[in-house]
Amino acid sequence: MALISVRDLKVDFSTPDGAVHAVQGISFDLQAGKTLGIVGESGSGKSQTVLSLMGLLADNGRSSGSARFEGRELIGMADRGLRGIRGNRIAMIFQDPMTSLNPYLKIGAQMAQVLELHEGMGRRQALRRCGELLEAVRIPDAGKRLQSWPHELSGGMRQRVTIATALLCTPALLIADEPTTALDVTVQAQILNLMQELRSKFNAAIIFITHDLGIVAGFCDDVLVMQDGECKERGSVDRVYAAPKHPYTQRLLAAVPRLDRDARPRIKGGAGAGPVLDVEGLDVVYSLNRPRLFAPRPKLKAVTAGTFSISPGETLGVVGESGCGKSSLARAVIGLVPPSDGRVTLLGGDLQDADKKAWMAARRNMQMVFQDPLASLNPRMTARQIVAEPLGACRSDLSRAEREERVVRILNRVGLKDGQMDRYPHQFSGGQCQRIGIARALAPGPAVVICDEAVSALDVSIRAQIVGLLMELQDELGLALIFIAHDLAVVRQISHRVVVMYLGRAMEIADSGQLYVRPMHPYTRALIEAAPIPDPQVERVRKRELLQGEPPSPLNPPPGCAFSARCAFAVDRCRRETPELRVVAHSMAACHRAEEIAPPGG
Amino acid sequence: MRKTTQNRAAAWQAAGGRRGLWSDAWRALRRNRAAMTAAAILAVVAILCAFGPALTPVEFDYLDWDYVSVPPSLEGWHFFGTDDLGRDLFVRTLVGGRISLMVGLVATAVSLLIGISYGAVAGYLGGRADQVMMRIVDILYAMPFMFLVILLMVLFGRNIALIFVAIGAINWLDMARIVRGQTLSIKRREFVEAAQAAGVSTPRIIRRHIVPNLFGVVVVYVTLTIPQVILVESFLSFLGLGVQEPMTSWGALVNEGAKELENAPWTLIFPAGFLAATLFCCNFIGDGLRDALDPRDRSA
Repeated sequence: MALISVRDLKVDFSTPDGAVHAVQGISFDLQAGKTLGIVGESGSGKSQTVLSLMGLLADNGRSSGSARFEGRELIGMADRGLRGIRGNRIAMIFQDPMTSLNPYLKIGAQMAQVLELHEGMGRRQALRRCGELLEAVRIPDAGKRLQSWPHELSGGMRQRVTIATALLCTPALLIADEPTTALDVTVQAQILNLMQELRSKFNAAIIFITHDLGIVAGFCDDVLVMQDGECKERGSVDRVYAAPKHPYTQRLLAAVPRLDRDARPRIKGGAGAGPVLDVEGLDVVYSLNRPRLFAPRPKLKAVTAGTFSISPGETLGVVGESGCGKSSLARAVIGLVPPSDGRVTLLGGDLQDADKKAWMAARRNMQMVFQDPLASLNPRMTARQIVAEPLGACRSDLSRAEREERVVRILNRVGLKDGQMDRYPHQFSGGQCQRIGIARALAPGPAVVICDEAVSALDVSIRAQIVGLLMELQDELGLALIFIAHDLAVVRQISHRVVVMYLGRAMEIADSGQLYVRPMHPYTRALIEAAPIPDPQVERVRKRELLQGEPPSPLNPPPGCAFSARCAFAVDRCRRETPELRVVAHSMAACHRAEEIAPPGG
Repeated sequence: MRKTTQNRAAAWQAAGGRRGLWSDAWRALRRNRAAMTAAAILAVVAILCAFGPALTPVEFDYLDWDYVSVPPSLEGWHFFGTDDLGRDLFVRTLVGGRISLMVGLVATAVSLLIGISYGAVAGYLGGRADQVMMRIVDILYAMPFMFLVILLMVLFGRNIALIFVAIGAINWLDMARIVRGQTLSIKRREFVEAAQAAGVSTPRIIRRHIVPNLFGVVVVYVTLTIPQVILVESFLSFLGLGVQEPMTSWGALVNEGAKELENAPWTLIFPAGFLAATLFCCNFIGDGLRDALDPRDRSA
């Protein structure tokens, strides 16, 4: 018998603009010890589905249908009855571990209240049990951690705490709503691994909500694909991935870039034409606030010795975990933060001592596309005004009519219709907003465009369209692209060459084709191993050496090689000497032992 | 869900409405019955104050010894009765309203102008400039308001223009602080960084990107400042530092009425009623605007 059996579940919201049908008839069964993945793009109703099971809908929401859990009907159950089930029989893990922990309560107190409430335990007994569970989720020094405040833990540790809290009452059903989305890829791999172990240990069923088809492939037994509140396809992971029946599933799977294919070949032309942008020994140092009055300001070295060059028509990918300095590097190159050392040469002109006027001229040739499509557009300007703005600022050589004509042409080129140009950003979808952002960057006719996580906030299918658009525009205009992202698969798809960064330093620079097949640096290898591949067959037989721990704070980097603290191959020399970036086989790597430990072949 | 949003937007386009933030806010405000009623009442009060005195044959400073302290009646145009000097209270209330509303508007406009430009510049420049500019604000804050007013009176004599200056000079400090805080948070938004990267100059960024996005907060603050300023003027008049006889304001009238409370309660009730109604209206409009300008409240 199924642990939970959902039939024709519907969720409606009444809004001032009429009813919104968020979920329209979802059905599924889930056995104990099994995992159901619910995938879908944002707004597909996947979160509302599980919130309605828990009776946690917003006030204007109403659910109907049937959901039998352990023989009891959840839909329409009184709040009192639901409270006995929530946290006790059904537990939930949320996306953001920072906001789901109360910053004013110590970890121990926070966890213990669950046990005091549901099991009627005393404080001391409850704390002992919390300590055991923190050990079960492999938090080092579990006993001490009970006395920590949430802000003292890293993101990965916090997510472990929320998992431990969810498991306190040994729930029969665990609902995880995008539990790894806010985490770095290496930490994500650790958490998924941990959840897999705990599933078999506690024999719990898991509903795993995610937008990442790669995670579902490796982690789930069954998958339910949602779009616009409807279930488009349901079945075993193997069947759905191998032979998707519904066209939406087919489109979705086709849109996901894969780490094990689709590398962009190195461009042939461009030889003879020198590099359009050349960066040498770039350092970015931030001064932080004084901890005490008159104390020296602590220095945070965000980027150390950033060096690269890029030719017309080429894409340079920059990957790394959060805090590795990839955005700081981009901002220093384009002059949004002043570099503390190093040289940036754009089209032969040195920007190091550039005055305001020289920067103005430089900005005409170097533009940027930002991460958040909506936040990067001024809510009080129309699409036309937004794209016209950089033209007004750095193309005073054009007449007014020429500028207007150019704005329309570029907006058309990125796919906006004439009738849409006088709308405001909030009237566009995320993908359209990012198209406007791209149009704004292209308006002055730049030679270099920096894309800072430009597709990270977008849904899978939209992401594929935007990446496609960027590549088309690049071929058309001979743009040099710097493409910054944390998603290795997307970077592989669009980049000719890739820089891997860790703690402000370049660890490896290699051709995209080579890097993913034969990574020379152990960190690159770990990153690639941690990234999920949307193919259950591949995922199941993949062997992984999981990277332990999380990146150290850039305020206090380890001596020697920055990666030595987490590296499985580190020897004494690595902890003493900082390795320089040097040629190793076909790539450049900053590792003392690159030759010894590189995988054979190539 | 997204589909319905787009349908809604499409329906709007079809209906010929341009769906800007302000038009959306205006729609939401019009649906807010409390705010619209308050706006209507306020408009009536303002029109009465502006044109009412001209329509009655009685002058506000005319002493009619035949009618000293008479209660409200329709006889002899004394709708609100007269005060202890036989002056018509109806006209006096409306003339006093001119002063009170004027103080509210002018002093608020002054504080708006100085406060927004000062706060936006300090917040946007940040760093040392911000530190110095905000310390100046702190120092001015530390100055006792009454002391400043008395000083101005002593130096320049009693003059209603001085009241405007004094109130405006104090009120912009609050505005500057609020605007600065708001600017700090807008400055970190990506669209400002995008403008910097696009090569837009600093004054233009402040003008085009920062200030328009401040409107939401500022508009709300303005509707709260107007009643506050009117109250301050009343307080000054109450202390005898405000307008000079025979000119009057709501504050001054309330002050006089309070003394006559026992034998001529109407001298207190009518001006106080007008004052209270205006303050209530401003607060309701402020609440309505705050809700209307917050997109989350609008679409929930």
